[in-house]
Amino acid sequence: MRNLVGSLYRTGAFALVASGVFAGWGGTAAHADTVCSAWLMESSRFMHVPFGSFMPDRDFIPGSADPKHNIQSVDLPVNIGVIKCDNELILFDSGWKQQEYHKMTGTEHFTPLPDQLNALGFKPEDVTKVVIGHGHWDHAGQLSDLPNATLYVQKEELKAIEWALNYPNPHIRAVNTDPGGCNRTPACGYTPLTVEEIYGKVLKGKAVIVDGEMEVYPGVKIHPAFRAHTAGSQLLEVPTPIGKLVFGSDAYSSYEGIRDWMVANIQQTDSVQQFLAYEQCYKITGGYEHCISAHEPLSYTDKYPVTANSWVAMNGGRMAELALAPGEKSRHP
Amino acid sequence: MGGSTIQAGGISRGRVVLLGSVIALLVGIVGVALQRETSRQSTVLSAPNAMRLCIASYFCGRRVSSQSAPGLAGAAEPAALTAEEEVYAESLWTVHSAAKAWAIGLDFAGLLYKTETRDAGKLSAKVQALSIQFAAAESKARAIDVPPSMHAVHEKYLAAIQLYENAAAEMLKTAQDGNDQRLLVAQGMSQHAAEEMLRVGDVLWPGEYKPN
Repeated sequence: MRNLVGSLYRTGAFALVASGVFAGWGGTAAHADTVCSAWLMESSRFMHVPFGSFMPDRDFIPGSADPKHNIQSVDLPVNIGVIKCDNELILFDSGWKQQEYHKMTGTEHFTPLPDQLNALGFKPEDVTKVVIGHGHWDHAGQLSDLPNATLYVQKEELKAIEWALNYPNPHIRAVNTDPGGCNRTPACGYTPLTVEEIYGKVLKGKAVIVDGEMEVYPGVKIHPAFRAHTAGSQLLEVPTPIGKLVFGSDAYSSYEGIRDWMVANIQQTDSVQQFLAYEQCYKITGGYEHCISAHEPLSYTDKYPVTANSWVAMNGGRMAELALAPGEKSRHP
Repeated sequence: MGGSTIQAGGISRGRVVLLGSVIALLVGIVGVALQRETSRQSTVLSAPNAMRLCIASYFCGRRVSSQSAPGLAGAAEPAALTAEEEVYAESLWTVHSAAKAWAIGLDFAGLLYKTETRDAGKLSAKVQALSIQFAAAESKARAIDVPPSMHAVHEKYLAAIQLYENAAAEMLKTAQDGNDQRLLVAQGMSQHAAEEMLRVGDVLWPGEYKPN
């Protein structure tokens, strides 16, 4: 009898250990092969931006035949990344919210984020994570419209926001909504209501304050890009069937800039760090074609090939299907 | 016989007239479309140029006229401030410039408490100091001469300051009883206050075209 009980114990223990090993192996295998689907949505569009103010090395020279200097102004989309990995729905950036802010900047083609998600067949409450590339007003708005999403923001970004907005010199702490606006000074873009969006997420326990690198889902990784646009800018590496994509927010403001090694959308930017952020995309993806830009004027055209599978959605705003994981249905209408 | 000669030789007169009318109509439609397109484009293109008028002066209280920037995001242009209203806007700005910074200070006091320090003493000290500042701001704002046309705007601003004072009071309760939910309640108040101040700012201190 004792031998039988002993045998039963040994068999049960072996079964437990074996099932644990196989479960772990099975789980690891599935995560190591994470493949995500990805889309791009145009939150709104800045109209008629002088090209030189977006990219200093593409400034307009009247009468020039040089294609790098013969475009006077461009329209800049404000792009949001939508990433689906298994049951996770992750947004990269969240557009902006207040109509008053749109009015100030001559922005057109705005559609609220919940409506855009609905158009793609998702609901705002489906979003599980939102990674903001940085905390500017056109990238960190509408967080409050994503009730179940956990916000990922760099600690460096929060430190810089607090420093800039509390700085004694009124020129340094001026924001866009102040008289005369602000001119790429340290607090430019950190408007009070955008800070409230971030703070609200923290208070609701729906925020992760990131310190450098972080894997937010197996294979989906945050890389810091400090001072590539703002003090706490960050990138998001995403594995897809077409290869890795790197979403860069404003560190990757221009796809052509990454291709041609030119700075773009200099705000609180250290240009050296912006170039190093470009290099990071080349290293991760093997080139520049899969670096996903926040404001590229050629977005949603075949001149920016990864975004070419595009269509016009609500209010003239555009969307693109970047990659589809196996079994994922196309959301191109 | 004559009629049959015409029909046998080509298009009838009636059909010529009809064809001519259709062509004239099409030309007219194209002409109207072209005219509308060029006028819209020139309107939109003028908007950024009109906004750059703000660069010339520190206070952009004067609005660009609706004639020069009618296409600005499709929004109706409010009337330019009068000289009296400009003086009021300048006076209130001295309060607002500081109040804005204190509002951010309130947010970050809560944020640091929640994410780093969990130190009720530090939270209390910070918020108490800001409370005093907001109270002083309200007194200073109440002492400003307000033109009759700006009374509603001024009341809105005062209500926003009071909301910040209430938010600070709520945060002090967190420091006393450790109930974090109060921070959330306070954040709702400060968000509402920021929205009201944005609306006041839209009237008194319009922003400038700066994408980020």
